[in-house]
Amino acid sequence: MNVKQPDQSSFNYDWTDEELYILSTLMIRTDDQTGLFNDTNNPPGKNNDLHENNHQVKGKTAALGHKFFFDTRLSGNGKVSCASCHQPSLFFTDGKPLSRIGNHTTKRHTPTVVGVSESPWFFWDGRKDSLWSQALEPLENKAEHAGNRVYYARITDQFYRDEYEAVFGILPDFSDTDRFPVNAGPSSDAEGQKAWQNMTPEDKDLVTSVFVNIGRAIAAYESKLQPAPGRFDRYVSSLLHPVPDTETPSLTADEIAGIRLFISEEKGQCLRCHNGPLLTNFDFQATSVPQNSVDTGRQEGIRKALKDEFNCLSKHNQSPANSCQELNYAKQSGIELERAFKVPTLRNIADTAPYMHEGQFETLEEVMRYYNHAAPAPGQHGELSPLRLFPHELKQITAFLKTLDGGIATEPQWLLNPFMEKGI
Amino acid sequence: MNKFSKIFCLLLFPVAEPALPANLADITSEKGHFQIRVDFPGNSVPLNKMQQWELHVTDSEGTPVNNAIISISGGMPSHKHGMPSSPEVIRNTSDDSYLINGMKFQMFGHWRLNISISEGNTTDNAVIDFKLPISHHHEQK
Repeated sequence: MNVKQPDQSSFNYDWTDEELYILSTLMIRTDDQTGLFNDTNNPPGKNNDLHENNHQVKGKTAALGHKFFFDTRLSGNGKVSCASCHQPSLFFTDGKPLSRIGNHTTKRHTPTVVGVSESPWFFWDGRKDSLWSQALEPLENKAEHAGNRVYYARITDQFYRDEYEAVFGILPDFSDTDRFPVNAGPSSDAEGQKAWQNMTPEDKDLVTSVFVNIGRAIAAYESKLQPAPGRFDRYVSSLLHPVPDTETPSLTADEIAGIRLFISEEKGQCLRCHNGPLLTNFDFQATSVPQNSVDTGRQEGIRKALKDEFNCLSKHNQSPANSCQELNYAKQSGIELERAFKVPTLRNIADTAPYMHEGQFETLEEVMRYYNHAAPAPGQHGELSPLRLFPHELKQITAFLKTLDGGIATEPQWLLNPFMEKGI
Repeated sequence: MNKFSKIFCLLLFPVAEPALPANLADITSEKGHFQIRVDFPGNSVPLNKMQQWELHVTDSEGTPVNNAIISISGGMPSHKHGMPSSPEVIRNTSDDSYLINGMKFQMFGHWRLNISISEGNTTDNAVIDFKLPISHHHEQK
């Protein structure tokens, strides 16, 4: 049997109208300098900070969040920041199946933050419904930052007063350790929880609102991290808007074959879940990948989201209650939620190994082989059926996936650690 | 204008009064008690976004049915999965219609909606089949 070698020459294919429409839905616009989507695509209040209409304040909020993201003081031992696991050089992942912090190992693989602001749900199981509330959980998680919210309020008071007040208004004085114990929080250790319970409701509210604003600032920074167009996008753009007398971007025959397999309902079937410019429908699907721990995914995730202290229906949400459609009309039960995990983006996927919710697969080739023969274990819910493609077809899909690499569409300074010069 | 631009113009910029795609209108329920019509906002149905649809129900004579209890479910028959959300039907108090909140579709292809209508002692079920992508048709004047 002949093994087809990847074809490096440029290739012209006559796309049908229907195929071209589908390609247009997968494309990042190459003329959009400010980011992936314009503001009309983001419903007001969703993943936006307080002052969404004030660009100057928005810039300051993101700058503050940039510092919080890299600040190791926002942790119990002073050594952990968001960037410990979400490393800019690895597209805000850490390249490991699971992350190890001190003596703790995370239960799931660290996902990227690039492009994540477009999702309605956060974490692999979607247990948070806003970007800012997602940022808060690792801060108080014993296995991650292992800090508590009173401690963080004090850090903000000591090191960020002016920057905080420029964005969020008056910051209370947290120096009184009788009112605000050194360590206290609802998910702290036993002593910290007791200290939290002994605080007055008003003081707890003061602390929590600063904690919420730390999350909002981090979310404003993360919203700047969007995937940039790749060769695929430039190619599709040239098909839709041919510019005379310019060199037309091209893809190889294998890359084009890979696109056709990817969007084919009979062959790759990838478009079912990997659709839209981020190549994810942001939904929860069960791919039945073998897992090392019992993990029910979305089934437990939606239960947590509905009870979450910071969800859309809580007092911390600043948009009107009737805009909480995702939470109000979420699917809450049924077999489809079992072992279902959030579909990740395929943007920059070639550079964000390993793959799946426990990082089970090291390479894209392993992922493709899995999909090719996938079948759920007996009695287990799963949505895949084996693709049964030829080896060269799997290579062609992988070749297409690599055309989605475009890096991160943001000014370079946002990818740097703002504390490096100061040696913190 | 090349043919690619024409496709997008049709989908994004209506040139005339948009008409409802045929398979979303004049649906008779299974036992014949009700006629229904659904409609979506905007020109086309986006993927992966929560949206609110409209539902109109009349009896077999054409008289609007305004006090029914209605529930809705949906899915993709060939994929054997349901909708990614749990839509709810409420009465639209401003006219003879209902609003379906929480409609969401996570992929292209053949979708089926099952609408269960109960008015007094009469219960019936309507099935609507359509294929995404879908847009309002445009009649050339």
